[in-house]
Amino acid sequence: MEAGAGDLDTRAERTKSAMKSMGPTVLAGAATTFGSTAFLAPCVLIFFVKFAYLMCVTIFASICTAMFFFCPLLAFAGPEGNDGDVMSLLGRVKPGGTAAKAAEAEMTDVAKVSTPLLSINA
Amino acid sequence: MCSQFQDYTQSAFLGGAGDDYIKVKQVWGLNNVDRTTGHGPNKDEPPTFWEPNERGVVSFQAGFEAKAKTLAFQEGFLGTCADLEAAPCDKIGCEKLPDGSKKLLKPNTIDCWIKDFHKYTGAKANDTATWPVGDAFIIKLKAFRINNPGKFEKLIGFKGGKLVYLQLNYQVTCKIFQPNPKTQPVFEEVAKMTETLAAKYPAMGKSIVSGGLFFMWTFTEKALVSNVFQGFAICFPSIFVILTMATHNFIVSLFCLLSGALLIALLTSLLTSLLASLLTFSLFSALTSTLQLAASSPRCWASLTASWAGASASPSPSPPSSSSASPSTTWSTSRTCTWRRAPATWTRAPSAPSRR
Repeated sequence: MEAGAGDLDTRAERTKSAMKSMGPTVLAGAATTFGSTAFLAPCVLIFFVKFAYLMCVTIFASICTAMFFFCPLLAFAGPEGNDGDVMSLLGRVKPGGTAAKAAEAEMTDVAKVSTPLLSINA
Repeated sequence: MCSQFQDYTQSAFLGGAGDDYIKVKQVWGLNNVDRTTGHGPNKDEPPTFWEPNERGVVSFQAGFEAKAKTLAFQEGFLGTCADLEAAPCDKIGCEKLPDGSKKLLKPNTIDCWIKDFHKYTGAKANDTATWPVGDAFIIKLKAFRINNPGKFEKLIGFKGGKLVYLQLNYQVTCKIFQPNPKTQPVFEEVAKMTETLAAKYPAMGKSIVSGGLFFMWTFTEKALVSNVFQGFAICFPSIFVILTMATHNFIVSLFCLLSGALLIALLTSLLTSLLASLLTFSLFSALTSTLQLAASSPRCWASLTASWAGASASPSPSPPSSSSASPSTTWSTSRTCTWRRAPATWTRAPSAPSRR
C-alpha cells in the first residue's frame, strides 16, 4: 500500500480502512508483546517482575492510545481532500507544479469553450 | 528492587526506619584524594576506574593535629553539633518532625562523640578549664578510642601515631531514593550550612561533607532527566519529518505526534506512581520514552498513519462513465491510475474523455 496514494475520500472511510488493514496486525503485535512480557511477572527476581509491569503497562497504554485516541481523532478531525497535503502545497509554491499546471489547464479549457462564442459574437 | 531490600533488612534483620534517611559524614583533616598513584597490588601504576579498590590515596591536611588539640577546635566541634541540631530547613525534601517543625537533621541522630570524650576524661561541659588540650588531648583521645572498641574507631583517625582526621556523622530529614527536586535542595542546604559553620568556627578549618550514594546520584539523575528531554527535542522533529515524508500529509503527522506526546505523559505519570519504589523518576522517563519510541510508536501509529494516509478501497474502482462522473472529479489515465477527488481544482489528462 502506498502512503499518500489512497483513493478513499472521507475521513471515516479512511479510518475504517486503516483499522481493517492494520488494526489486526497492530493488535496482534501488542498481544504477543504483552503476553511474552507477562510471563516475567511471576519471576523470583524482583527486577524482572518490575520490568514485566513496565512493559505490560507500556504496551497496554500504547495500544489504548492508538486505538481509542489516535484513530477516533483521525475519524473526527482527519484531513480530507487536499487538506495538509504536502505535495499539493509544494505544487502551489513551485512554478510549473501540479497546481500551476491545473490552473493552466483550466485556463485552456475556458479558452477552448469561449473561442466559438467569441467567433459567433464576432 | 531497592524497596524490597529495605523491607527485608527491616523485617529479617535489625534495620530500622532510621535507615530510610540520608546519612551524612562531615570530616575534618582530609585534604584530597591523589588519583595518580595506586595503593593496591599495583602501587606503581596509576589507578584505573575498572579496579573498585583502587580509588587513589587520601592525603591529609598538614598540621591538623596541632589545630585539633586547641581549645578553640573543641569549642567549634561542640558548637557545630549544637548548630546542626538546631538548623531549620524549609526545603521540600526536609520532612516534618512529629512536633510540626522542619529541621535539617533528624533529632538525636548526630553522633557528637566529643561529649562522650569529655565525660570519659571527667571534664565538665560548661567549664572549659577542665577540658584536655595540647598533648594531653591527643593522649586521652587515643585512650578513649582504644577503650571504646567498635564505637569511635572510624570517627577518630590516627595514622602513624598522629591524629589525621575527625569525623561527625548525622542524618538529615530527607529520605533516601527521593527524586532530584527533593534531594538536591537538601544537599545545597547541607553545603550552605557547612560553609556557615566554617566561617563561624575558623579554628576548625576546612571540612569535607559526603552524603554517600544519594547526594552523588541526584546529579546523575538530573542529567538523565535533562537528557530525556533533549532526546525528545531531537526525536519529535525527526519523527515529524519522517512521517510527513511517508504520508505526504503534515496534519496526520501532527496527530500522530500528539498521540505520542499523550502516551509519554500517560506512561510517565502511570509508571512513576505504579513503580515509584523501584527507581526514581529519571530512569522511568528514560525507560518509558525509549520503550515508547522504540516499540510502540512505530508499531501502532506509524503503521496506522501510513495506512490511513494511503487508504484505498479493495478492489480498485473502475473508471466512471462519463454520465456518472461529477464535474468535481477526474479520472486520470496517467501512470498511477488513481481516482482522486479534487475539490478546488480539477485536471484533465490528455487522453481523458471530455465530460462537458
